[in-house]
Amino acid sequence: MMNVHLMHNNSASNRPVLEVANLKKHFVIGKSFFGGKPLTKLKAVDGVSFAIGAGKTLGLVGESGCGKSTVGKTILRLYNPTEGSIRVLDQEISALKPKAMRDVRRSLQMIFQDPYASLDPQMTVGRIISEALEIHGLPKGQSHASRVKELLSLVGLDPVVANRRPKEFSGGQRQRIGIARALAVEPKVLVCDEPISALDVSIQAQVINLLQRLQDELGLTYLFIAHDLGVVRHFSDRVAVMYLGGIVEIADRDRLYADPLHPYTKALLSAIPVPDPDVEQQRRRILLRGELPSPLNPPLGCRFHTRCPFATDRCREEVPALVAVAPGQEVACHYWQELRGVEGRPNQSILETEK
Amino acid sequence: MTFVQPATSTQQARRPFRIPRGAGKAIGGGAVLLIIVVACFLSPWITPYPPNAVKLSARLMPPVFAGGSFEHLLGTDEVGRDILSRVMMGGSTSLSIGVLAVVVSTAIGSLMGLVAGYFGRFFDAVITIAAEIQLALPSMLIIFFFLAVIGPNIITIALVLALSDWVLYARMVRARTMVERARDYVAAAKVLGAGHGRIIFNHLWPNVLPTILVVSMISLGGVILSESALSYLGLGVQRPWPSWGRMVADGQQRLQVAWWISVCPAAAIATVVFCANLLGDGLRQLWKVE
Amino acid sequence: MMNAHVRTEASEAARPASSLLEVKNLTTEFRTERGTVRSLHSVSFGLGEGEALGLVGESGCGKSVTALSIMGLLPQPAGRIVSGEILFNGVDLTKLSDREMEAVRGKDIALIFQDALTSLNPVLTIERQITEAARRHLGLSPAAARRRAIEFLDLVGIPAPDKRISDYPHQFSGGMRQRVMIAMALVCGPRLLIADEPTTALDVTIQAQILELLQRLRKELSMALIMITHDLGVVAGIADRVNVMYAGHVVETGMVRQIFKNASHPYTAGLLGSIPKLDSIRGSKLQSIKGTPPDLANPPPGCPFTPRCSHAFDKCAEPPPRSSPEPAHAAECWLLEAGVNTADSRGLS
Ligand SMILES: Nc1ncnc2c1ncn2[C@@H]1O[C@H](COP(=O)(O)OP(=O)(O)OP(=O)(O)O)[C@@H](O)[C@H]1O
Ligand SMILES: Nc1ncnc2c1ncn2[C@@H]1O[C@H](COP(=O)(O)OP(=O)(O)O)[C@@H](O)[C@H]1O
Ligand code: SF4
Ligand code: SF4
Ligand SMILES: [Mg+2]
Ligand SMILES: [Mg+2]
Repeated sequence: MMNVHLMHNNSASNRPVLEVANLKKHFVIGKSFFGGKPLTKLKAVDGVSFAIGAGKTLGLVGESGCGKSTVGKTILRLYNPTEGSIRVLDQEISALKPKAMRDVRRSLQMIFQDPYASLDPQMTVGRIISEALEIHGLPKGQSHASRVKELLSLVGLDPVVANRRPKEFSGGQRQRIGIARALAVEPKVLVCDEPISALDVSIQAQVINLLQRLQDELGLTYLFIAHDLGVVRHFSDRVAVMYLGGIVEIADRDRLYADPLHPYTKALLSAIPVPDPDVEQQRRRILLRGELPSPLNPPLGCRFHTRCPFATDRCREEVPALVAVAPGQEVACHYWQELRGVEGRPNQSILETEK
Repeated sequence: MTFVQPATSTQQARRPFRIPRGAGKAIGGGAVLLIIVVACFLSPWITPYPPNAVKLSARLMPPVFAGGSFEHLLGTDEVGRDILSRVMMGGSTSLSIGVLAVVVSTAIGSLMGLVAGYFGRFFDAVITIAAEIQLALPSMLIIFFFLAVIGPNIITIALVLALSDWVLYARMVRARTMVERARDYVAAAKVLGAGHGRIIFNHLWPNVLPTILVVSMISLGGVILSESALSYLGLGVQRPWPSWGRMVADGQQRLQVAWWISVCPAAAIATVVFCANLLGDGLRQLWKVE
Repeated sequence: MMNAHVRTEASEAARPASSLLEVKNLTTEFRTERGTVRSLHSVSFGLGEGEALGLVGESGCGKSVTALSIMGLLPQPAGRIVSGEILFNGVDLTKLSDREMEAVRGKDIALIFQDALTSLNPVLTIERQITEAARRHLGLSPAAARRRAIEFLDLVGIPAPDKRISDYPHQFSGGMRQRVMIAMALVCGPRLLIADEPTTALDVTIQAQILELLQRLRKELSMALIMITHDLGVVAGIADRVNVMYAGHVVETGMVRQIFKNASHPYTAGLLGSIPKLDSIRGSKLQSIKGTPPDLANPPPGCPFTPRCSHAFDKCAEPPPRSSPEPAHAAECWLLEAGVNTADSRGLS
C-alpha cells in the first residue's frame, strides 16, 4: 500500500540524490611514520551500496562498531574511501580534490552524535553558524547576522542566543545549533550520525520532530544513522541493516518490519524492548549467541555465521550476495527462502547458546 | 549539565554569587605581578634616585626595617647607590628578558606543536625528532656557546633562553592538539569546507590557548631564574645595566657587612617567580586545564 | 485491565507482610560549586520480597542517588542524607555505622553499575575479585570460594568458567564483563540486587541476553531487583512495579500495567508519548515534552514539572499532594486531586 515510493524504479526525472556503490573503507592499524610493525587492515566498511531519492530518508542501523559512522564520514570525505563510488546529485565525489570538494559540501552536510563535542566551545553560537557563510563566501556583514537569526528561529531557538557560548546550552539545544550550522549552506543531503542517541528521551522526540519538519519544509534528503530501530521506523522510508561492515538487508520500512528476511534483522527486531508490558511479556526473543566479531578478523563466508542459529557449512565458506528478493527488498543470506517465516530458535537458553 | 534559557535567566540571577575555584590565586598572584611589572618598567621615570648615581656620603646604609632611614628604603650599596632604584631598574632588564623569552618560545613552540599535532605523520616526525635532539643536547652548554659567540645583550639572552624552552610548549601543544583534533567540532569544520589554516587558527589555537597561557606563566618564573643564574655567572647583561642576577652576584662579597645588597634583588626574584606560579596555578583551576 | 487489577491486589495485600525494603521520605543533598543541590525530595517507596521495581526517569533525576543512598555509598563529603529512613528488613540503614553497613553491602544488598569496565579492577584476576566478597561475607575457605565463584560464573553463562576465572577483566568483551559483574554481585546470595543501567553501554542484541539473564536469575534465586534505566521498554519487560522520577521526586508509582496503560502524571504520559510507537505512521509528529529538565540548584517552586507541563494551572505553584487513582497506584499532581484524568485529557493539549 505504501510501495508507491519504491526508489529502485527511478524514472530519469527522479534520480537518486545520494548514491553509494561498493563503498569500502579499510583502516590501516599500527602504522607509524617510519613503518616497522607489520600492518593490519581493519575493514570498517566493506562493500556497501545504496541509493536515496530526493526528499527521502534512508535509515542505517546496526550495532556499535559495525561501520555506520564510517559510512557517513566517508561519504562526507572525512575519510578517503578505499574503493567504491559516491555520487551526490549525479556528481562522482569519491576522488575529488579538496577545492572541488568544498563546493560539493554546500549540498552535503552532516549532524553529529555528540552535541557536546561537535560545537567549538570557544566560539559563540553566532560565529559557529556564520562560519559556514564565511567559508562559502556568502554575502558578508549585516546579512550574516540576519541569516544567523533566521536559522536559529528555523530550528526553534530564540535568536537572542547568538552571542552565547555552547556551554550555556543543554544537549538538545546544542543539537539544534548543530542542525542550524549544517543548514546554513542550504544543503540538499544531510547525513545524521545518531543525532539523538546522546539525548534524553523527552528531548529526543523534540529533535525528531524538528528534523521531520525541516525535511517537509526544505525538501531535505536524509541518511539517518541510528541504533534504535523504533526511531528509525518512525523516521525512514527505507531501512538498511548493517552487520560488520556490510549491509545484510535493505528494504522499504514497512516490509522490513513486517517481513524481515535476514536472521540478523529478525534477531535485532526481536531484541528491541517495547514500551508495552503486554507485548513484552508475550514476546519471545531470539537470543543471539556471543558478540560482534572483531572487524580486524572477520569471519569468512557469511559474516554472520558465528552468531547465526541457522549457519551451515556453506555459510562458513561462501559469501552470500545481497540479492533483490521482492520489490524494494534485498537480503544477503543463502537461506532466506527456507527461513521465511521462521522466527529463529526462540527461548534457547543463554547457557546453551553461549557454549 | 547547566543550561541557560531565556526563561530561566531570572532564576539564575537569584543564585548567590560564588567565587570560582582558583580565582583568588589568580587575582592575588596577578595583582602583585602587575604592580611589580609596572614599577619596574616605569623605572626610568619613577625611581627615587638615578640607579647609577654614586653618593659616597651614604654608603652601605641598611634598609629602613633594619635600622636605616626613609631616605633609602632598601638601603644603599658600597658606593652609595640606592638599592630600591637599582632593583626597579634591574627588574626592567630581568622582566624584559623573561617576557621576551616566554613570548618567543611560546610562539615557536605552539606553532610547532599545532602543526605536528594537527597534520601528524611527516610533520610530527620531523618536529618530534627536532625536539628530541634539542632535549638531548646540554642546554646550558648551548647557551654558553651562543652567548660567548654573539655576546650577551637583552635580545640575545632572551632568544637563547627561548631556544631551550620551545620544546616544552611544542610537546604540550602537540598533545593538546591531538586531543582537540579528534573532536567532532573539527570534523564539523571540515564538513563545512574549512581549510587547514582556518581549522588550526580559528578552532584549534583558541582551544589550546588556555593551556599555553597557564604553562607560560609557570615557565616565566623558570626563565627569570635562568636569566639570574646566567647573570650570576657573569654571562648576563653587562655592566653598568643592573639585572637581578648580577646584583645578587655583586653583593655577595659583602654579604657579611651588607646582606641587603644581595638579599633585596633575590627577594624580588623569589616574589616574581612565586606570583607567576600562583597566577598560572590559579588560571589552571579557573579554566580547568590539566 | 482486569488482569492488572488482580495482580495489583494480590501484591498489595502481600506487600506489608513481606516488605523487604521501605524507603520513607528520603531527602538528600549535594554541596557543589553552584550551591546546594537537593537531589532527592522526600522519596518514598516500598519493595516486597522477590519483587522487581523499575526506576525510570531522565538523566540527573536522581535514580543513581537513590541507589547510592540505599547502599550507603553517597560520595563523601559532598553528598549527605538530610532526612528520611531506609528500612531494610526493618533495620534503618541510615542509622548503621560504617562497619555495620559494610556487612550489609555486598552480602544482603548488591549493586551493579552501568560501566563494567571501570567498576572491575583491571590489575586483579576475576577470581580474586569474586572470591574476595565470598570469603569475607560467607567465611569460605579459598578453595570453597573458588568453587562458588566458578559455579556463579557458570550460572551467568560464562563458557569454560574454570579456565576463564583466572583471566583479567580486559580479556572479556563488554557483555561478558557485565556477566562477570553480575556473578560478583550474586556470589553472596543477596536478597536485593540494584542494577544501575546495567545494559545502557551494551548493544541491543547483548542487552537482550543480559535482560534475559537477570529475569532468569531473579526467579531462580528469588531475589528482589531494583532496575534503574531510562529505557521504558526495558522496564516494561522486567518490572512488577515502576517508580517514575523527575527532578528528585517520585512523581508516579504503580504496577507496571498501571503506569503504561493508565499513566496519571503528565510527565509519565509525555514520556510515553515521546517514544515512537510500533504502529506509528511515517511522518507523524511525536508527542514531545517542551523545554528541558530544571536546574536542581534552582528548582521551580511547587510542582517541579510546572515549566514544561501543558496542563499547569495556578495551583501548581504549590507542591502537589500524592493522590491515588486506584490501589497501588499514586501520583503527585494537582490534576488528580481535582479528579481530572490526565490520560483522558491528553488529547486536548
Ligand atoms: N558526586 C556528586 N556531586 C554533586 N552532585 C551530584 C553528585 N552525584 C549526583 N549529583 C547530582 O544529583 C542529581 C541526581 O543525579 P543521579 O546521578 O542520581 O542522576 P540519574 O538519575 O542517575 O541520571 P543518569 O541517568 O544520568 O545516570 C543530579 O542533579 C546530579 O548532578
Ligand atoms: N579512524 C579510525 N581508525 C581506525 N579504525 C577506525 C576508525 N574509525 C572507526 N574505526 C573502526 O571501524 C569500525 C566501525 O566503526 P564505526 O563506523 O565508528 O562504527 P559505528 O558507527 O557503526 O558504531 C570499528 O571497529 C572502529 O573501531
Ligand atoms: S548465510 Fe547462513 S550464516 Fe549467513 S545469515 Fe544466512 S543462514 Fe545465517
Ligand atoms: S501538578 Fe500541575 S504542573 Fe505538576 S504535573 Fe500536575 S498539572 Fe502539571
Ligand atoms: Mg557511530
Ligand atoms: Mg545514573
